[in-house]
Amino acid sequence: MAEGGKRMSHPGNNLTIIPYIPTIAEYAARIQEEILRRRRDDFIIAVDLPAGLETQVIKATRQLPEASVVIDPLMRGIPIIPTSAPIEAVRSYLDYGLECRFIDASLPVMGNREEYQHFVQISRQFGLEKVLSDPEAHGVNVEELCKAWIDPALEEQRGYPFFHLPGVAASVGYPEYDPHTATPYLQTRLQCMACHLQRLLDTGIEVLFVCSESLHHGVLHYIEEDLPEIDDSYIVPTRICPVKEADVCRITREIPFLMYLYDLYRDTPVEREQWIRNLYCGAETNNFPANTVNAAIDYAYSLALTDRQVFPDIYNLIAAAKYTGGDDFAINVLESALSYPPNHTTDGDCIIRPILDYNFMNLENARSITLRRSLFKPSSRITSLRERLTPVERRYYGYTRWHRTPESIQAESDFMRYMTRRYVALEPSKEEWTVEEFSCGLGEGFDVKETLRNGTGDKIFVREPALENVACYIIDYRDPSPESLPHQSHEGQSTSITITPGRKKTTFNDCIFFDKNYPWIGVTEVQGRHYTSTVMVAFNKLDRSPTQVFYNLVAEHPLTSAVHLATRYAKYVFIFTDNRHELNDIPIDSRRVKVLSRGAIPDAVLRMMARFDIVGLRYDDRRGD
Amino acid sequence: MTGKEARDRVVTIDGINIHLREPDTIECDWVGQREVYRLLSAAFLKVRETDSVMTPVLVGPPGSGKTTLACAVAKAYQLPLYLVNCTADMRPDDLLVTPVLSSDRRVLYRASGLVSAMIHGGICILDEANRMNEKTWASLASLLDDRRYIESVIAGVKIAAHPEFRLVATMNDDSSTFNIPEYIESRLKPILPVEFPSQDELRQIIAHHVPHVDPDLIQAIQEYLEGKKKSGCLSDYSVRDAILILRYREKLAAGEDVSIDYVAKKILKIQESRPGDLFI
Repeated sequence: MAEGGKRMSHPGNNLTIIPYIPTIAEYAARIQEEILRRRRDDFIIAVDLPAGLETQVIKATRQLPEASVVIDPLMRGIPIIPTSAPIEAVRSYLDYGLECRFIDASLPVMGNREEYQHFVQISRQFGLEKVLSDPEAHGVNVEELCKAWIDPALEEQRGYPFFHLPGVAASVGYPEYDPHTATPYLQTRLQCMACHLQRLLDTGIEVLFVCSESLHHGVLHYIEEDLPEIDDSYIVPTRICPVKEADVCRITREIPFLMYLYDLYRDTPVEREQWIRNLYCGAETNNFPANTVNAAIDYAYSLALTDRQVFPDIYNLIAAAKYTGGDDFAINVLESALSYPPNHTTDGDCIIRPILDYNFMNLENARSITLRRSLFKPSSRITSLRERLTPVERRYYGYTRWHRTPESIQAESDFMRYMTRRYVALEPSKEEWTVEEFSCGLGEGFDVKETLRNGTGDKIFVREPALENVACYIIDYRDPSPESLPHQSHEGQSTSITITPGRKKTTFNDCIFFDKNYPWIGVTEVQGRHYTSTVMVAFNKLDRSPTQVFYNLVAEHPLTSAVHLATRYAKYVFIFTDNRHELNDIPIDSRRVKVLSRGAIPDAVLRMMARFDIVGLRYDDRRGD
Repeated sequence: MTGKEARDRVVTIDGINIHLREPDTIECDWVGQREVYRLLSAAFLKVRETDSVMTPVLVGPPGSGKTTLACAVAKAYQLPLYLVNCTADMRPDDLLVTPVLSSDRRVLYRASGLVSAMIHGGICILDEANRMNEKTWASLASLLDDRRYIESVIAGVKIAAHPEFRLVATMNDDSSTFNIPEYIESRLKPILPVEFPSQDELRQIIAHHVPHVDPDLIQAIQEYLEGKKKSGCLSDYSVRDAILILRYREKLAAGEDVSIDYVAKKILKIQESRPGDLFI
């Protein structure tokens, strides 16, 4: 818990100011501590809440820990939350029966004070409704009256800083008050507060002034001055808005879950570090390793430092979770952070839009981050579909070997030459080596044979593993189905391959394999001697004969069964398909499998293996075509 | 080179002299995208003594500025910078300590940029780190966790990292990338996406790299590239492409008017649009 505090003594020695940064728990805790320390003394609590709103604020405060907001038609709000320092002061007043005064001005308008005083005077004379119905007739310039003279510098700020140490906040956050640059609105409020405060001080009783860090310099500036009387008796109508649990974060910069913990352990010191750890660990992070959670916590503190904060706010907590553990982890942490159980069942008709406080500062944390939960956990339907598609060891039904045409064999070589050069997954070979003279690096060790062959020369030779391409290629020759391409164009020249069934002959789908040059397996459409590729799988290397695996392809689900097969026997797989939607239901390890469109292969290359013919039957089982 | 500088380039560990590499001097300024800059800066911070040092990874499309970002943050930390380009055939000793034959036929041990950064307390950027194979990644496992050392089998020494040493990896997210072992992935955090900048930021970046250029020309190039991308004639373009087009045009123009289309087609693969083409 932050130590110390900024106390300023009035020349009359009966004023103590406790500054705060809105909605931060440590400041509310300090207020409570101060009040508790003095509760047997004779003193008045003065808070910077608008005078005239006591009834509404006290009524809402009595409902704590259920959070709400007192809001006026100008969208200015007073968040009634446990970690609000002035609300904590009111709460303590209610708990201990102390005296409390609201000394801020309600100020129904935001503009010129003289214009405002004229408006109030006219309204009292003729009635508010009459004046508002025809303001010009009563000499009231509505535009001037309602002009929002907000300090442009404030508009650029994100809101209050997330400081937890009052000493740091004072030196870093807020400059001394400058009456020449202050807006008329702020000046009026400060003068009003100074007037009320002076009146309290003149009674001689000890005054504990709970004031925002951004205002207390200004109040002190005016406190000894001879100020004209400000008529702030016109109270802007307000209402208490219930806040749903999901909207609690919109009325406070404090983390809602920590706000809940503050209220739960209200009489104990704020242990923010421990609470943050609880937040991460309790966020359904069972599926995430401990080092991820630790890394997220450490990173959150580092992010806070770069924001000139000591502790991370909700944005930095979630950003740290996202970039260390992924979006799912961050979503879990976010859901935990946003939970505020006292408002769990709160409902109402209030729509909580971005609310400003009476200083026109954002109450919520305005930064945003995008999180995407990863796709569904598979349903039972998908699980059973997956089980159906998973290659099951099928019974061996035999096969027939055929000769392919020389053109087809050549096309296969050309095709693989292109693919192995274009789409590469290199791994050091375990069987093949290259030998080079040692100059730099010992590689995989000395090559004794070559070194000895060098005879009496002083050359040493070392072995380097040759790199081999271990990629496997799945080519889906089917045209995209209507579900996958909603804007399929059939007009004009198409760049896709059109596979036609040909003349009316009996066609059937069959599983085939090649084992002459490269091991291939595939599903094809067969018409006599003509084969048209449906889905083909080309391996660079296969550690068993294709005859042992090709029958695991399923003609009804060629792509998914090919993916299962390829990922089972190859380390890296490139899939070229225009039917990606068929892969949605199967788990794909993106580190091993790359899915590309069929257009990634040039047409000329693609056509090489689109069709092939057989020329003759082989009756022996020697290595065929 | 002074005697001290020469001595600093050779360190003795367990009786083995290891020759260190000079740090790289790369000019890099980061423009825009302050958030990702902040995220990377935070990853290098160590708040408490007990905190683990993080090894961030920058992931993004080619030409999005990953290396530039890493260099810019390294510059802000005022630490020596070492850039190591990773390749698929990189071996562990290429990444750690390599034995070489000197002119007088002695075996010298040369430290890589990574080890030099470890010893000097600098920042090492592993560029295109996902192209390294598993064996090479495995040699970094002890460096990436709390142990913070590497073992060079070739030199027979264990080299501990300087407390200020930081490591950042950059990776492309394209079809040429493959898996990093899971036990290495668990040590690489945070993973920070470096995305393509907004059009306003792109304008600032181009203006920064090619000063004295008419802002209207920058705008025209941006609109040209965006137009080609939307029409499907260009699959994608990077910040680097935009800068190259502008620079090349400046060199080609030399007082004459050279069209952006002519220059862009020399740099990028821009297809001409045809009626009836499928838009994928």
